[in-house]
Amino acid sequence: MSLSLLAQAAPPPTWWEGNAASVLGLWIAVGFTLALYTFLYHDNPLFKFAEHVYVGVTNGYLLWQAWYSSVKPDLVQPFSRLVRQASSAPPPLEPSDSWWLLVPALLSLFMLLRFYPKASWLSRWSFAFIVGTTAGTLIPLTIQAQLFEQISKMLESPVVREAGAFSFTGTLNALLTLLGVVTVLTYFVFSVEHKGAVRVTARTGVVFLMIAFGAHFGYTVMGRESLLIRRIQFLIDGAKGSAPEGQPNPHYATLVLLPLVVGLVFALEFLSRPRGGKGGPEAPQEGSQTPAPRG
Amino acid sequence: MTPEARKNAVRWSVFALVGAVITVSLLFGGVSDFHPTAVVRKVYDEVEALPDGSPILISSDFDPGSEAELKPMMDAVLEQCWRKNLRVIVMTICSPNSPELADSIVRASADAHGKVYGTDYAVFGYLAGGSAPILALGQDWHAVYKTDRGGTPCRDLPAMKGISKLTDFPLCLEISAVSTIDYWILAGNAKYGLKLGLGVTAVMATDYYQYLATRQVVGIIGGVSGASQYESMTRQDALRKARETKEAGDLASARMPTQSAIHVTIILLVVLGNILYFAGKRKEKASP
Repeated sequence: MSLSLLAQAAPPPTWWEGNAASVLGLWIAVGFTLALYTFLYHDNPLFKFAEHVYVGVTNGYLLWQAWYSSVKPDLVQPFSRLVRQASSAPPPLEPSDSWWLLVPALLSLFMLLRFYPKASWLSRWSFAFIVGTTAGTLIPLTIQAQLFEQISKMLESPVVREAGAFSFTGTLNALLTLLGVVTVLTYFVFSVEHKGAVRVTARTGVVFLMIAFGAHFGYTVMGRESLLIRRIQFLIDGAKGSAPEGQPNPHYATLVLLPLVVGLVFALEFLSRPRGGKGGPEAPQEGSQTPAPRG
Repeated sequence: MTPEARKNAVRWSVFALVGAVITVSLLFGGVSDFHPTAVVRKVYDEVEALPDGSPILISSDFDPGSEAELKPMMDAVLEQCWRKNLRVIVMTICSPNSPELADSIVRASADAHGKVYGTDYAVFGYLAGGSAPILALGQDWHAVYKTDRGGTPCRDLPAMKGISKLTDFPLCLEISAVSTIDYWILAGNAKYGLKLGLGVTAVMATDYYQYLATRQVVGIIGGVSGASQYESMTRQDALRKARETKEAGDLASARMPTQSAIHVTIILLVVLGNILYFAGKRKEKASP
Protein backbone atom coordinates (compact mmCIF):
# COMPACT_ATOMS: atom_id res chain seq x y z
CA MET A 1 0.00 0.00 0.00
CA SER A 2 2.73 2.41 1.05
CA LEU A 3 4.71 1.45 -2.05
CA SER A 4 1.80 2.23 -4.36
CA LEU A 5 1.33 5.58 -2.61
CA LEU A 6 5.00 6.32 -3.10
CA ALA A 7 4.74 5.37 -6.75
CA GLN A 8 1.77 7.70 -7.18
CA ALA A 9 3.64 10.52 -5.47
CA ALA A 10 6.77 10.02 -7.59
CA PRO A 11 7.30 12.67 -10.29
CA PRO A 12 6.67 11.61 -13.90
CA PRO A 13 9.80 10.48 -15.73
CA THR A 14 11.68 13.13 -17.68
CA TRP A 15 12.16 12.60 -21.43
CA TRP A 16 15.52 10.91 -21.01
CA GLU A 17 14.00 8.33 -18.69
CA GLY A 18 10.78 7.71 -20.61
CA ASN A 19 9.58 6.43 -23.95
CA ALA A 20 11.16 9.28 -25.93
CA ALA A 21 14.62 8.15 -24.80
CA SER A 22 13.88 4.55 -25.84
CA VAL A 23 12.72 5.70 -29.27
CA LEU A 24 15.81 7.90 -29.67
CA GLY A 25 18.02 5.00 -28.57
CA LEU A 26 16.35 2.74 -31.11
CA TRP A 27 16.90 5.25 -33.93
CA ILE A 28 20.56 5.62 -32.96
CA ALA A 29 20.96 1.82 -32.90
CA VAL A 30 19.33 1.46 -36.33
CA GLY A 31 21.43 4.31 -37.73
CA PHE A 32 24.68 2.88 -36.42
CA THR A 33 23.84 -0.65 -37.59
CA LEU A 34 23.25 0.65 -41.11
CA ALA A 35 26.38 2.82 -40.98
CA LEU A 36 28.49 -0.19 -39.95
CA TYR A 37 27.07 -2.33 -42.75
CA THR A 38 28.12 0.29 -45.33
CA PHE A 39 31.55 -1.32 -45.02
CA LEU A 40 30.19 -4.10 -47.21
CA TYR A 41 30.20 -1.55 -50.05
CA HIS A 42 33.65 -0.29 -49.12
CA ASP A 43 35.51 1.54 -46.39
CA ASN A 44 34.03 5.03 -46.01
CA PRO A 45 33.96 7.97 -43.55
CA LEU A 46 30.50 7.09 -42.25
CA PHE A 47 31.66 3.58 -41.34
CA LYS A 48 34.79 5.02 -39.74
CA PHE A 49 32.67 7.39 -37.65
CA ALA A 50 30.35 4.60 -36.48
CA GLU A 51 33.30 2.31 -35.76
CA HIS A 52 35.12 4.93 -33.66
CA VAL A 53 32.00 5.86 -31.71
CA TYR A 54 31.29 2.17 -31.06
CA VAL A 55 34.82 1.47 -29.80
CA GLY A 56 34.82 4.64 -27.66
CA VAL A 57 31.42 4.01 -26.10
CA THR A 58 32.20 0.34 -25.43
CA ASN A 59 35.46 1.13 -23.70
CA GLY A 60 33.96 3.98 -21.72
CA TYR A 61 31.11 1.75 -20.58
CA LEU A 62 33.49 -1.10 -19.69
CA LEU A 63 35.69 1.25 -17.68
CA TRP A 64 32.68 2.59 -15.80
CA GLN A 65 31.41 -0.93 -15.11
CA ALA A 66 34.86 -2.13 -14.00
CA TRP A 67 35.12 0.80 -11.60
CA TYR A 68 31.71 0.24 -10.02
CA SER A 69 31.76 -3.55 -10.02
CA SER A 70 35.36 -4.25 -9.01
CA VAL A 71 37.70 -1.38 -8.21
CA LYS A 72 35.37 0.67 -6.01
CA PRO A 73 33.79 -2.10 -3.88
CA ASP A 74 36.88 -4.33 -3.68
CA LEU A 75 39.62 -1.75 -3.24
CA VAL A 76 38.55 1.86 -2.77
CA GLN A 77 35.77 1.31 -0.23
CA PRO A 78 37.73 -1.11 2.01
CA PHE A 79 40.64 1.34 2.01
CA SER A 80 38.47 4.33 2.83
CA ARG A 81 36.93 2.35 5.71
CA LEU A 82 40.42 1.46 6.86
CA VAL A 83 41.55 5.07 6.78
CA ARG A 84 38.44 6.17 8.70
CA GLN A 85 39.03 3.48 11.32
CA ALA A 86 42.70 4.35 11.66
CA SER A 87 41.97 8.03 12.11
CA SER A 88 39.10 7.51 14.57
CA ALA A 89 39.74 7.88 18.30
CA PRO A 90 39.84 5.51 20.05
CA PRO A 91 41.15 3.03 17.43
CA PRO A 92 39.18 -0.23 16.91
CA LEU A 93 39.93 -3.11 19.28
CA GLU A 94 40.37 -5.67 16.45
CA PRO A 95 42.87 -4.86 13.73
CA SER A 96 41.43 -4.68 10.22
CA ASP A 97 42.34 -7.39 7.73
CA SER A 98 42.17 -5.03 4.73
CA TRP A 99 45.81 -3.96 4.86
CA TRP A 100 46.77 -6.89 2.63
CA LEU A 101 44.88 -5.12 -0.17
CA LEU A 102 47.92 -2.86 -0.45
CA VAL A 103 49.72 -5.69 -2.27
CA PRO A 104 47.30 -6.02 -5.24
CA ALA A 105 46.85 -2.23 -5.26
CA LEU A 106 50.59 -1.71 -5.63
CA LEU A 107 50.91 -4.48 -8.22
CA SER A 108 48.11 -2.85 -10.23
CA LEU A 109 49.86 0.51 -10.08
CA PHE A 110 53.11 -1.12 -11.16
CA MET A 111 51.40 -2.37 -14.34
CA LEU A 112 50.51 1.20 -15.24
CA LEU A 113 54.16 2.16 -14.88
CA ARG A 114 54.83 0.57 -18.27
CA PHE A 115 53.99 4.01 -19.65
CA TYR A 116 56.83 5.57 -17.60
CA PRO A 117 60.11 4.15 -19.04
CA LYS A 118 62.27 4.90 -15.99
CA ALA A 119 60.11 2.74 -13.71
CA SER A 120 58.64 0.33 -16.27
CA TRP A 121 60.77 -2.51 -14.85
CA LEU A 122 58.42 -2.59 -11.84
CA SER A 123 55.63 -3.86 -14.10
CA ARG A 124 57.58 -7.11 -14.42
CA TRP A 125 56.80 -7.84 -10.78
CA SER A 126 53.09 -7.67 -11.54
CA PHE A 127 53.40 -9.88 -14.60
CA ALA A 128 55.62 -12.30 -12.70
CA PHE A 129 52.97 -12.56 -9.98
CA ILE A 130 50.17 -13.15 -12.51
CA VAL A 131 52.12 -15.68 -14.57
CA GLY A 132 53.40 -17.46 -11.45
CA THR A 133 50.06 -17.81 -9.69
CA THR A 134 48.23 -18.78 -12.88
CA ALA A 135 50.82 -21.40 -13.78
CA GLY A 136 50.93 -22.71 -10.22
CA THR A 137 47.19 -23.16 -9.93
CA LEU A 138 46.28 -24.16 -13.48
CA ILE A 139 49.12 -26.40 -14.72
CA PRO A 140 48.30 -29.31 -12.35
CA LEU A 141 44.59 -28.90 -13.08
CA THR A 142 45.21 -28.76 -16.83
CA ILE A 143 47.24 -31.96 -16.70
CA GLN A 144 44.49 -33.63 -14.73
CA ALA A 145 41.54 -32.38 -16.79
CA GLN A 146 42.97 -32.36 -20.29
CA LEU A 147 45.50 -35.18 -20.16
CA PHE A 148 44.79 -37.78 -17.47
CA GLU A 149 41.00 -37.72 -17.83
CA GLN A 150 41.16 -37.95 -21.63
CA ILE A 151 43.83 -40.69 -21.65
CA SER A 152 42.09 -42.77 -18.99
CA LYS A 153 38.89 -42.70 -21.07
CA MET A 154 40.87 -43.94 -24.06
CA LEU A 155 42.18 -46.87 -22.02
CA GLU A 156 38.68 -48.08 -21.16
CA SER A 157 37.03 -50.85 -23.15
CA PRO A 158 35.38 -49.45 -26.30
CA VAL A 159 32.40 -51.74 -25.79
CA VAL A 160 29.75 -49.43 -24.36
CA ARG A 161 26.84 -50.63 -22.26
CA GLU A 162 23.89 -48.41 -21.45
CA ALA A 163 21.49 -49.51 -18.69
CA GLY A 164 23.15 -52.94 -18.73
CA ALA A 165 22.55 -53.55 -22.45
CA PHE A 166 25.02 -53.38 -25.32
CA SER A 167 24.85 -50.02 -27.10
CA PHE A 168 25.69 -50.22 -30.82
CA THR A 169 25.87 -46.45 -31.40
CA GLY A 170 27.85 -45.92 -28.20
CA THR A 171 30.35 -48.61 -29.14
CA LEU A 172 30.66 -47.33 -32.71
CA ASN A 173 31.26 -43.83 -31.36
CA ALA A 174 33.94 -45.09 -28.95
CA LEU A 175 35.67 -47.11 -31.70
CA LEU A 176 35.67 -44.12 -34.07
CA THR A 177 37.09 -41.90 -31.32
CA LEU A 178 39.82 -44.45 -30.60
CA LEU A 179 40.64 -44.79 -34.31
CA GLY A 180 40.71 -40.98 -34.66
CA VAL A 181 43.05 -40.50 -31.69
CA VAL A 182 45.49 -43.18 -32.84
CA THR A 183 45.60 -42.10 -36.49
CA VAL A 184 45.85 -38.37 -35.78
CA LEU A 185 48.64 -38.94 -33.25
CA THR A 186 50.44 -41.06 -35.85
CA TYR A 187 50.21 -38.19 -38.33
CA PHE A 188 52.12 -36.01 -35.85
CA VAL A 189 54.90 -38.55 -35.31
CA PHE A 190 57.76 -37.13 -37.37
CA SER A 191 60.58 -39.33 -36.09
CA VAL A 192 59.40 -42.22 -38.30
CA GLU A 193 59.19 -41.94 -42.07
CA HIS A 194 55.60 -41.95 -43.30
CA LYS A 195 55.58 -44.97 -45.61
CA GLY A 196 53.82 -48.30 -45.71
CA ALA A 197 51.40 -48.89 -42.79
CA VAL A 198 52.47 -45.67 -41.06
CA ARG A 199 51.57 -43.71 -44.19
CA VAL A 200 48.12 -45.30 -44.40
CA THR A 201 47.50 -44.61 -40.70
CA ALA A 202 48.73 -41.01 -41.01
CA ARG A 203 46.57 -40.40 -44.10
CA THR A 204 43.56 -41.74 -42.19
CA GLY A 205 44.48 -39.24 -39.45
CA VAL A 206 44.41 -36.46 -42.04
CA VAL A 207 40.86 -37.49 -42.97
CA PHE A 208 39.82 -37.23 -39.32
CA LEU A 209 41.51 -33.82 -39.07
CA MET A 210 39.72 -32.59 -42.19
CA ILE A 211 36.37 -33.74 -40.81
CA ALA A 212 37.12 -31.93 -37.54
CA PHE A 213 38.13 -28.73 -39.35
CA GLY A 214 35.03 -28.99 -41.54
CA ALA A 215 32.73 -29.37 -38.54
CA HIS A 216 34.46 -26.45 -36.86
CA PHE A 217 34.16 -24.29 -39.96
CA GLY A 218 30.49 -25.23 -40.39
CA TYR A 219 29.73 -24.26 -36.81
CA THR A 220 31.67 -21.01 -37.25
CA VAL A 221 29.65 -20.09 -40.34
CA MET A 222 26.46 -20.93 -38.44
CA GLY A 223 27.50 -18.67 -35.56
CA ARG A 224 28.23 -15.73 -37.86
CA GLU A 225 24.95 -16.28 -39.68
CA SER A 226 23.08 -16.18 -36.37
CA LEU A 227 24.54 -12.77 -35.58
CA LEU A 228 23.69 -11.45 -39.05
CA ILE A 229 20.15 -12.84 -38.88
CA ARG A 230 19.57 -11.13 -35.51
CA ARG A 231 20.82 -7.80 -36.88
CA ILE A 232 18.61 -7.99 -39.96
CA GLN A 233 15.69 -9.02 -37.75
CA PHE A 234 16.41 -5.88 -35.71
CA LEU A 235 16.36 -3.74 -38.87
CA ILE A 236 13.12 -5.35 -40.04
CA ASP A 237 11.51 -4.65 -36.64
CA GLY A 238 12.85 -1.10 -36.91
CA ALA A 239 11.02 -0.64 -40.21
CA LYS A 240 7.63 -1.11 -38.55
CA GLY A 241 5.27 1.62 -37.41
CA SER A 242 4.22 -0.20 -34.25
CA ALA A 243 5.75 -2.37 -31.55
CA PRO A 244 4.60 -5.02 -29.05
CA GLU A 245 3.44 -3.74 -25.68
CA GLY A 246 6.26 -2.53 -23.46
CA GLN A 247 8.66 -1.89 -26.33
CA PRO A 248 9.37 1.47 -28.00
CA ASN A 249 7.67 2.23 -31.31
CA PRO A 250 10.41 2.50 -33.97
CA HIS A 251 8.32 4.87 -36.14
CA TYR A 252 9.72 3.43 -39.40
CA ALA A 253 13.32 4.16 -38.33
CA THR A 254 14.91 1.77 -40.88
CA LEU A 255 12.80 3.06 -43.76
CA VAL A 256 13.78 6.65 -42.98
CA LEU A 257 17.44 6.05 -42.15
CA LEU A 258 18.31 3.57 -44.92
CA PRO A 259 18.05 6.08 -47.81
CA LEU A 260 19.72 8.72 -45.65
CA VAL A 261 22.71 6.48 -44.89
CA VAL A 262 23.04 5.29 -48.49
CA GLY A 263 22.74 8.89 -49.75
CA LEU A 264 25.34 10.07 -47.25
CA VAL A 265 27.83 7.37 -48.28
CA PHE A 266 27.53 8.32 -51.97
CA ALA A 267 27.61 12.05 -51.18
CA LEU A 268 30.79 11.64 -49.14
CA GLU A 269 32.31 9.56 -51.90
CA PHE A 270 31.40 12.19 -54.47
CA LEU A 271 32.90 14.96 -52.32
CA SER A 272 36.11 13.01 -51.74
CA ARG A 273 36.75 12.53 -55.49
CA PRO A 274 39.60 14.58 -56.89
CA ARG A 275 38.33 17.46 -58.99
CA GLY A 276 38.46 16.86 -62.75
CA GLY A 277 39.03 13.10 -62.44
CA LYS A 278 36.92 9.98 -62.55
CA GLY A 279 37.60 8.59 -59.07
CA GLY A 280 35.46 6.14 -57.18
CA PRO A 281 35.91 2.83 -55.55
CA GLU A 282 36.30 0.92 -58.78
CA ALA A 283 39.23 2.93 -60.09
CA PRO A 284 40.85 4.89 -57.27
CA GLN A 285 43.07 7.70 -58.53
CA GLU A 286 46.50 8.26 -57.19
CA GLY A 287 46.24 10.56 -54.17
CA SER A 288 42.48 10.05 -53.91
CA GLN A 289 40.96 10.22 -50.45
CA THR A 290 38.73 7.26 -51.24
CA PRO A 291 40.42 4.11 -49.94
CA ALA A 292 40.55 1.06 -52.15
CA PRO A 293 37.98 -1.63 -51.39
CA ARG A 294 39.11 -4.40 -49.07
CA GLY A 295 39.10 -7.89 -50.52
CA MET B 1 35.17 -3.75 -66.71
CA THR B 2 38.48 -3.98 -64.87
CA PRO B 3 39.31 -7.19 -62.95
CA GLU B 4 39.07 -5.19 -59.70
CA ALA B 5 35.62 -3.91 -60.61
CA ARG B 6 34.51 -7.42 -61.60
CA LYS B 7 35.74 -8.77 -58.26
CA ASN B 8 33.82 -6.06 -56.40
CA ALA B 9 30.68 -6.72 -58.44
CA VAL B 10 30.82 -10.42 -57.52
CA ARG B 11 31.43 -9.58 -53.85
CA TRP B 12 28.53 -7.12 -53.72
CA SER B 13 26.26 -9.59 -55.52
CA VAL B 14 27.01 -12.25 -52.87
CA PHE B 15 26.32 -9.77 -50.05
CA ALA B 16 23.08 -8.65 -51.71
CA LEU B 17 21.96 -12.25 -52.27
CA VAL B 18 22.68 -13.24 -48.65
CA GLY B 19 20.88 -10.13 -47.36
CA ALA B 20 17.89 -10.76 -49.62
CA VAL B 21 17.60 -14.44 -48.63
CA ILE B 22 17.71 -13.56 -44.92
CA THR B 23 15.18 -10.72 -45.25
CA VAL B 24 12.69 -12.75 -47.31
CA SER B 25 13.12 -15.78 -45.07
CA LEU B 26 12.57 -13.74 -41.91
CA LEU B 27 9.43 -12.21 -43.36
CA PHE B 28 7.92 -15.54 -44.46
CA GLY B 29 9.96 -18.17 -42.59
CA GLY B 30 7.73 -19.37 -39.77
CA VAL B 31 8.87 -21.32 -36.70
CA SER B 32 10.85 -24.55 -36.87
CA ASP B 33 10.23 -27.64 -34.77
CA PHE B 34 13.54 -29.36 -34.10
CA HIS B 35 13.92 -32.59 -32.19
CA PRO B 36 16.57 -32.39 -29.50
CA THR B 37 19.83 -34.23 -30.10
CA ALA B 38 21.25 -36.46 -27.37
CA VAL B 39 23.95 -33.91 -26.49
CA VAL B 40 21.37 -31.18 -25.81
CA ARG B 41 18.90 -33.53 -24.15
CA LYS B 42 21.54 -34.53 -21.59
CA VAL B 43 21.57 -30.97 -20.21
CA TYR B 44 17.78 -30.99 -20.07
CA ASP B 45 17.72 -34.36 -18.30
CA GLU B 46 20.25 -33.21 -15.69
CA VAL B 47 18.17 -30.13 -14.87
CA GLU B 48 15.01 -32.23 -14.90
CA ALA B 49 16.56 -34.68 -12.43
CA LEU B 50 17.10 -31.96 -9.81
CA PRO B 51 14.58 -32.09 -6.95
CA ASP B 52 12.11 -29.20 -6.78
CA GLY B 53 13.53 -26.23 -4.91
CA SER B 54 17.17 -27.17 -5.54
CA PRO B 55 19.67 -24.42 -6.21
CA ILE B 56 21.20 -24.17 -9.67
CA LEU B 57 24.14 -22.00 -10.61
CA ILE B 58 24.20 -20.23 -13.97
CA SER B 59 27.42 -18.54 -14.95
CA SER B 60 26.30 -16.03 -17.55
CA ASP B 61 29.57 -15.32 -19.32
CA PHE B 62 28.57 -13.36 -22.37
CA ASP B 63 28.03 -9.76 -23.35
CA PRO B 64 25.74 -8.04 -25.88
CA GLY B 65 27.96 -9.17 -28.78
CA SER B 66 26.80 -12.77 -28.27
CA GLU B 67 23.28 -12.01 -27.09
CA ALA B 68 21.83 -13.14 -30.43
CA GLU B 69 22.98 -16.71 -29.82
CA LEU B 70 22.94 -17.07 -26.06
CA LYS B 71 19.88 -15.14 -24.88
CA PRO B 72 17.39 -17.60 -26.44
CA MET B 73 19.39 -20.41 -24.83
CA MET B 74 19.26 -18.78 -21.41
CA ASP B 75 15.55 -18.05 -21.78
CA ALA B 76 14.88 -21.70 -22.62
CA VAL B 77 16.91 -22.95 -19.65
CA LEU B 78 15.27 -20.47 -17.25
CA GLU B 79 11.84 -21.60 -18.40
CA GLN B 80 12.66 -25.11 -17.20
CA CYS B 81 14.15 -23.80 -13.93
CA TRP B 82 11.01 -21.81 -13.10
CA ARG B 83 8.76 -24.77 -13.90
CA LYS B 84 10.75 -26.92 -11.51
CA ASN B 85 10.82 -24.16 -8.86
CA LEU B 86 14.61 -24.23 -8.80
CA ARG B 87 16.48 -21.46 -7.02
CA VAL B 88 18.45 -19.77 -9.77
CA ILE B 89 21.73 -18.12 -8.81
CA VAL B 90 23.42 -16.13 -11.58
CA MET B 91 27.02 -14.93 -11.58
CA THR B 92 29.67 -13.96 -14.13
CA ILE B 93 33.44 -14.09 -14.57
CA CYS B 94 33.51 -12.93 -18.18
CA SER B 95 33.35 -9.17 -18.37
CA PRO B 96 32.19 -6.20 -16.29
CA ASN B 97 29.35 -5.60 -18.74
CA SER B 98 27.94 -9.12 -18.44
CA PRO B 99 25.98 -8.81 -15.15
CA GLU B 100 23.79 -6.00 -16.50
CA LEU B 101 22.72 -8.16 -19.44
CA ALA B 102 22.29 -11.28 -17.30
CA ASP B 103 20.24 -9.31 -14.79
CA SER B 104 17.87 -7.99 -17.46
CA ILE B 105 17.39 -11.44 -19.03
CA VAL B 106 16.72 -13.20 -15.72
CA ARG B 107 14.45 -10.47 -14.37
CA ALA B 108 12.33 -10.37 -17.55
CA SER B 109 11.95 -14.15 -17.49
CA ALA B 110 11.30 -14.27 -13.73
CA ASP B 111 8.71 -11.47 -13.87
CA ALA B 112 6.83 -13.34 -16.60
CA HIS B 113 6.60 -16.34 -14.25
CA GLY B 114 5.85 -14.40 -11.06
CA LYS B 115 9.16 -15.31 -9.45
CA VAL B 116 10.46 -13.14 -6.62
CA TYR B 117 13.96 -11.73 -6.44
CA GLY B 118 15.87 -12.93 -3.41
CA THR B 119 13.60 -15.92 -2.83
CA ASP B 120 13.49 -17.64 -6.21
CA TYR B 121 16.58 -16.15 -7.79
CA ALA B 122 19.55 -13.89 -7.16
CA VAL B 123 22.06 -12.16 -9.40
CA PHE B 124 25.66 -11.64 -8.35
CA GLY B 125 28.17 -9.28 -9.92
CA TYR B 126 31.30 -9.69 -11.99
CA LEU B 127 34.37 -11.38 -10.52
CA ALA B 128 37.72 -10.63 -12.12
CA GLY B 129 40.61 -13.10 -12.18
CA GLY B 130 39.59 -16.02 -14.42
CA SER B 131 40.01 -19.23 -12.48
CA ALA B 132 40.92 -17.54 -9.17
CA PRO B 133 37.33 -16.63 -8.17
CA ILE B 134 36.14 -20.16 -8.99
CA LEU B 135 38.84 -21.64 -6.77
CA ALA B 136 37.89 -19.20 -4.01
CA LEU B 137 34.13 -19.84 -4.38
CA GLY B 138 34.89 -23.52 -3.95
CA GLN B 139 36.25 -22.79 -0.49
CA ASP B 140 33.84 -20.14 0.79
CA TRP B 141 31.13 -18.50 -1.31
CA HIS B 142 30.35 -15.85 1.29
CA ALA B 143 33.96 -14.70 1.54
CA VAL B 144 33.96 -13.91 -2.18
CA TYR B 145 30.41 -12.69 -2.72
CA LYS B 146 29.52 -10.81 0.44
CA THR B 147 26.53 -9.16 -1.26
CA ASP B 148 24.49 -9.64 -4.39
CA ARG B 149 24.60 -7.16 -7.26
CA GLY B 150 22.15 -4.82 -5.52
CA GLY B 151 24.12 -4.78 -2.25
CA THR B 152 21.89 -7.15 -0.25
CA PRO B 153 24.03 -9.26 2.10
CA CYS B 154 24.37 -12.77 0.74
CA ARG B 155 23.18 -14.34 4.01
CA ASP B 156 19.92 -12.37 3.85
CA LEU B 157 18.89 -13.94 0.54
CA PRO B 158 16.53 -16.93 1.01
CA ALA B 159 17.62 -18.19 -2.43
CA MET B 160 21.10 -18.75 -0.98
CA LYS B 161 19.89 -20.93 1.88
CA GLY B 162 22.20 -23.90 2.44
CA ILE B 163 24.88 -22.64 0.07
CA SER B 164 28.28 -21.97 1.56
CA LYS B 165 30.55 -23.15 -1.26
CA LEU B 166 30.49 -24.03 -4.94
CA THR B 167 29.90 -27.74 -4.48
CA ASP B 168 26.61 -27.04 -2.67
CA PHE B 169 25.19 -26.50 -6.15
CA PRO B 170 24.17 -29.86 -7.63
CA LEU B 171 24.58 -28.44 -11.13
CA CYS B 172 26.27 -25.46 -12.79
CA LEU B 173 25.34 -24.27 -16.25
CA GLU B 174 28.05 -22.26 -17.94
CA ILE B 175 26.45 -20.16 -20.69
CA SER B 176 29.42 -18.63 -22.38
CA ALA B 177 30.84 -16.95 -25.44
CA VAL B 178 34.44 -16.90 -24.24
CA SER B 179 37.09 -19.23 -22.86
CA THR B 180 35.79 -18.96 -19.28
CA ILE B 181 34.53 -22.49 -19.94
CA ASP B 182 38.10 -23.73 -19.58
CA TYR B 183 38.29 -22.14 -16.13
CA TRP B 184 35.07 -23.86 -15.12
CA ILE B 185 36.30 -27.24 -16.40
CA LEU B 186 39.70 -26.87 -14.72
CA ALA B 187 38.82 -25.11 -11.48
CA GLY B 188 35.16 -26.11 -11.11
CA ASN B 189 35.06 -29.68 -12.37
CA ALA B 190 38.64 -30.97 -12.09
CA LYS B 191 39.33 -29.34 -8.72
CA TYR B 192 35.97 -29.62 -6.96
CA GLY B 193 34.05 -32.16 -9.03
CA LEU B 194 31.32 -29.65 -9.86
CA LYS B 195 28.77 -31.06 -12.31
CA LEU B 196 28.92 -28.86 -15.39
CA GLY B 197 26.56 -28.30 -18.34
CA LEU B 198 27.54 -26.01 -21.20
CA GLY B 199 25.68 -23.51 -23.35
CA VAL B 200 28.06 -22.10 -25.93
CA THR B 201 28.16 -20.14 -29.17
CA ALA B 202 28.30 -22.24 -32.33
CA VAL B 203 31.90 -21.20 -32.97
CA MET B 204 32.99 -22.82 -29.70
CA ALA B 205 30.80 -25.92 -29.68
CA THR B 206 33.22 -28.33 -31.35
CA ASP B 207 36.01 -27.40 -28.92
CA TYR B 208 34.20 -28.99 -25.99
CA TYR B 209 32.81 -32.26 -27.38
CA GLN B 210 35.91 -34.06 -26.07
CA TYR B 211 34.69 -33.47 -22.51
CA LEU B 212 31.39 -35.25 -23.13
CA ALA B 213 32.75 -38.78 -23.33
CA THR B 214 34.72 -38.31 -20.11
CA ARG B 215 31.62 -36.89 -18.38
CA GLN B 216 33.59 -33.75 -17.45
CA VAL B 217 30.60 -31.91 -18.88
CA VAL B 218 27.13 -33.44 -18.86
CA GLY B 219 25.92 -31.95 -22.14
CA ILE B 220 26.35 -29.10 -24.60
CA ILE B 221 23.83 -26.65 -26.04
CA GLY B 222 25.55 -25.27 -29.13
CA GLY B 223 24.50 -22.02 -30.81
CA VAL B 224 21.05 -21.06 -32.02
CA SER B 225 20.50 -24.60 -33.24
CA GLY B 226 21.05 -25.96 -29.73
CA ALA B 227 18.86 -23.23 -28.26
CA SER B 228 16.13 -24.14 -30.72
CA GLN B 229 16.33 -27.80 -29.64
CA TYR B 230 16.10 -26.78 -25.98
CA GLU B 231 13.11 -24.57 -26.76
CA SER B 232 11.35 -27.58 -28.27
CA MET B 233 11.49 -29.18 -24.81
CA THR B 234 10.84 -26.21 -22.53
CA ARG B 235 8.99 -23.51 -24.49
CA GLN B 236 6.24 -25.38 -26.28
CA ASP B 237 3.63 -22.76 -25.29
CA ALA B 238 5.73 -19.90 -26.63
CA LEU B 239 6.38 -21.81 -29.86
CA ARG B 240 2.67 -22.54 -30.31
CA LYS B 241 1.81 -18.89 -29.68
CA ALA B 242 4.51 -17.76 -32.13
CA ARG B 243 3.10 -20.04 -34.83
CA GLU B 244 -0.41 -18.69 -34.27
CA THR B 245 0.40 -14.97 -33.99
CA LYS B 246 3.45 -14.87 -36.30
CA GLU B 247 5.15 -12.80 -33.58
CA ALA B 248 8.31 -14.79 -32.81
CA GLY B 249 10.07 -12.39 -30.45
CA ASP B 250 13.45 -13.71 -29.38
CA LEU B 251 12.76 -17.40 -30.06
CA ALA B 252 15.69 -19.27 -31.60
CA SER B 253 13.24 -21.58 -33.40
CA ALA B 254 11.97 -18.60 -35.38
CA ARG B 255 15.46 -18.02 -36.76
CA MET B 256 16.19 -21.60 -37.75
CA PRO B 257 14.25 -21.57 -41.07
CA THR B 258 16.31 -18.52 -42.04
CA GLN B 259 19.45 -20.28 -40.85
CA SER B 260 18.61 -23.27 -43.07
CA ALA B 261 17.83 -21.03 -46.05
CA ILE B 262 21.13 -19.19 -45.75
CA HIS B 263 23.01 -22.48 -45.30
CA VAL B 264 21.56 -23.77 -48.58
CA THR B 265 22.43 -20.48 -50.28
CA ILE B 266 26.02 -20.63 -49.06
CA ILE B 267 26.40 -24.27 -50.12
CA LEU B 268 25.09 -23.39 -53.59
CA LEU B 269 27.46 -20.42 -53.77
CA VAL B 270 30.41 -22.63 -52.77
CA VAL B 271 29.47 -25.17 -55.47
CA LEU B 272 29.01 -22.39 -58.05
CA GLY B 273 32.33 -20.83 -57.06
CA ASN B 274 34.11 -24.16 -57.51
CA ILE B 275 32.48 -24.76 -60.91
CA LEU B 276 33.54 -21.29 -62.10
CA TYR B 277 37.04 -21.80 -60.72
CA PHE B 278 37.59 -25.12 -62.50
CA ALA B 279 35.93 -23.84 -65.67
CA GLY B 280 38.34 -20.90 -65.62
CA LYS B 281 41.30 -23.21 -65.14
CA ARG B 282 40.21 -25.40 -68.04
CA LYS B 283 39.80 -22.32 -70.23
CA GLU B 284 43.26 -21.17 -69.20
CA LYS B 285 44.75 -24.54 -70.16
CA ALA B 286 42.90 -24.62 -73.47
CA SER B 287 44.09 -21.16 -74.52
CA PRO B 288 47.48 -21.21 -76.28
